[in-house]
Amino acid sequence: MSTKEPVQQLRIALRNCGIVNPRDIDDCIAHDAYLALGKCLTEMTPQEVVQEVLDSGLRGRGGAGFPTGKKWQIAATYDADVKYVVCNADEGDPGAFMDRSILEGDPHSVLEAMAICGYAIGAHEGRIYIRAEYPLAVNRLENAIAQATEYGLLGKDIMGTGFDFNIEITLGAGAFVCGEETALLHSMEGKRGEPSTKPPYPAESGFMGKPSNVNNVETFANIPTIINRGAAWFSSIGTEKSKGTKVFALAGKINNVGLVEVPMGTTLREIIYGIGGGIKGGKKFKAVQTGGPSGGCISEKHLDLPIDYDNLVSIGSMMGSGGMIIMDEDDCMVSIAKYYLKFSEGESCGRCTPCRIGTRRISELLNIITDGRGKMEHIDELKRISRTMQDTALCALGQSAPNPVLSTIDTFWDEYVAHVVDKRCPTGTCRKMTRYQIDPARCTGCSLCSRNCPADAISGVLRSPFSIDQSKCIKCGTCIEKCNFGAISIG
Amino acid sequence: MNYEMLDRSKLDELDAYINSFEDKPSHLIMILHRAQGLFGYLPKEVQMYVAEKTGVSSAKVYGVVTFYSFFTMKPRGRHTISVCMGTACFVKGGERILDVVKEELGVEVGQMTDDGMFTLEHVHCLGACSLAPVISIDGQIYGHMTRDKVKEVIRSYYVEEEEA
Amino acid sequence: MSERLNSYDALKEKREALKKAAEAQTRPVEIRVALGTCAIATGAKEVFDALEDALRANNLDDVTLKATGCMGYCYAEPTVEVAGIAAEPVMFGHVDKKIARDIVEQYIMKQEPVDARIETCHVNA
Repeated sequence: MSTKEPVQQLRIALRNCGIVNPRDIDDCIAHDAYLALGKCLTEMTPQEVVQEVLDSGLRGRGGAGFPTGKKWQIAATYDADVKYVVCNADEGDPGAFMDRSILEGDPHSVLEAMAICGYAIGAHEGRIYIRAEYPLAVNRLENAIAQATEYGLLGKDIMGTGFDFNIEITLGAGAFVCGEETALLHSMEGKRGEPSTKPPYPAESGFMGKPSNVNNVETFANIPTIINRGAAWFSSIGTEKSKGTKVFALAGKINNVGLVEVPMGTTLREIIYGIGGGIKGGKKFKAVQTGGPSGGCISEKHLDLPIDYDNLVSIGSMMGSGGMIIMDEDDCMVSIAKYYLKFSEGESCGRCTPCRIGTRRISELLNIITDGRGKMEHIDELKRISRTMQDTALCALGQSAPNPVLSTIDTFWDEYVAHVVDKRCPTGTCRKMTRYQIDPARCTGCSLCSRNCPADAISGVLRSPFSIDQSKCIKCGTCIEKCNFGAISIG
Repeated sequence: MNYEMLDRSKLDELDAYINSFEDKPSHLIMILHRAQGLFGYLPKEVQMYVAEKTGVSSAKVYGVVTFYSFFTMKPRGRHTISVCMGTACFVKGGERILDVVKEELGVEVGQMTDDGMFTLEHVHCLGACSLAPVISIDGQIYGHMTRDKVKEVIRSYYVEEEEA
Repeated sequence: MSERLNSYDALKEKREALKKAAEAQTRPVEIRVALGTCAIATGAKEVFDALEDALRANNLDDVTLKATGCMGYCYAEPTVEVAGIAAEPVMFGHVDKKIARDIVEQYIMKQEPVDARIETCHVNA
């Protein structure tokens, strides 16, 4: 336990997760499900609902933080025979699992919020676009929709008010870019999920060319509480420009891996050392990555910064969907940047040149650097390509893909220099630059390493120090794992 | 186009699913999910069949199949091993786990073992980060993988098959 | 479950009735087992079954056993929360079949502590 008093979590989006049985609508109703929808339909006009969400200060929890009320207000102004409410449940950021947890733990909160949104903007059709990788969440959603429809809380003539709202589920098929709203809408239409230029915004021409309002799962999960407890209550939580709470998925080298929901403005230190219980194995904190492949790495010097949308952008990262990966002294930051760029390269849809070629070129350059063939010019080239992508890529994926590179160059400059100038990976991660060595003073000659080496690279005579044949070593790390005497190190 | 090599009863099931949609083209991805569920993969013939039944051009169907990582045009093994390459798994040694699986099965990512037992895939994130590094076999998640544990899991599938 | 809730008042009445029914139980104890994807992967289903068996073996049919979603304390999965014994719900972590039995036979039946308790730090809105 840390010596500091643990920070209290405040659960708004997760309020019912772990409390209700998601398969039992009665249990959810006992915990206030559909109460806010009833209130909206019987006591509020659509304009009042929009105003309440505007006043709450809620901003989109999927990434960029656009004010949700504003989005609804714009969507409400367009007239059409059919309009759509779309829930973006394509949680594609590696290391983020908050949306899955909400959908598995409290699906009704999302369904209720979509119906509220439908009432507010004048839509009667809802669509949930969800990753096929989340079969349990899909199953619980289907079950929840069926139960709510049977109770008349979805479907025709909801609660006898004359308001109709249907929800259908559409499965994704594994494409990160579909988290971008225009790409998501194309995918829902059965096409390749490529983004298109905005305007027109989805509010004007979205799914099937009809006005559509797209919000993410966590954004929706906040709505019923805002209606029940009021905008004034919600906006009393958080910072000046970021209201309410945010759910983070804490993962990586941290003791208490988990899902946490804290008021906006909580510091990284409070989350990592308070709630998260500090770094695993007593190691030294090195960085925290937020915002997934679109975000950046934050170092120790920013640990006391209150987290909100604007502060994270000001230090070269972003909120993103809320994945928070903690890294310790053993993690190589150049490799982390390479990891994210390899991800973006694979997920680039190929439609625009800056992203398609830019991610490829950056990946190649990072490979050169981690192979020990880097020059200082390569780092300049990395920066130049990154800036071009930020300025010219078509969608947010391409514009933000270089962030992990720029933020690590900025914050961990010394590590890039070590790779390029000294041809050395300080953490021993980059395999081409590392040598595994046995310390003869510590080696007892027990032969455990040699018996476990998959490449037969270790040999020696029992009870005298063993040695590693560098030409055979595949640097898999098995020997370090197996050695009981700490005799093997990476140099 | 001749669809004789395709199982008629599976085609009938696919037909019924396709016909349940009024607007077929906009449900193409859902239809392909079902088709892959039925046939295990999406060979050219299945894509042509879907094109014919939905009225979407076969070029567009092919475009969609190749765009999404979930769809495959190669036959699959009886089991699919997905090694998670999410960030949490990456920092906890997911790449090494992938190496072990490759070594153990003797295949690269995207390939099927010669005995038709396993297809190896990597996925971006299974969302089970608390158990990193993780693999999943046919959707069943195995957490806290090590070199030895992953071999043990793979071998357990062979043992199970021998017993069956 | 076939009734339709034909008005906002009908929904509110239903909610009140459900709440009252829960309060009227002779032993208002609720066991919640997190059954999300990760929890299931760590064996939460087996824990759920073990709890069910222990309740049945001890004839505790007035204790509610509930399958819920993720509780957020992923590092300690499988997690089980018990409400209605202490003033605040108590969370247990790394629960296995034996601990599940202890939760029922020691904690719920005798109000004796069980070692697997973990600290929580959240309030729900």
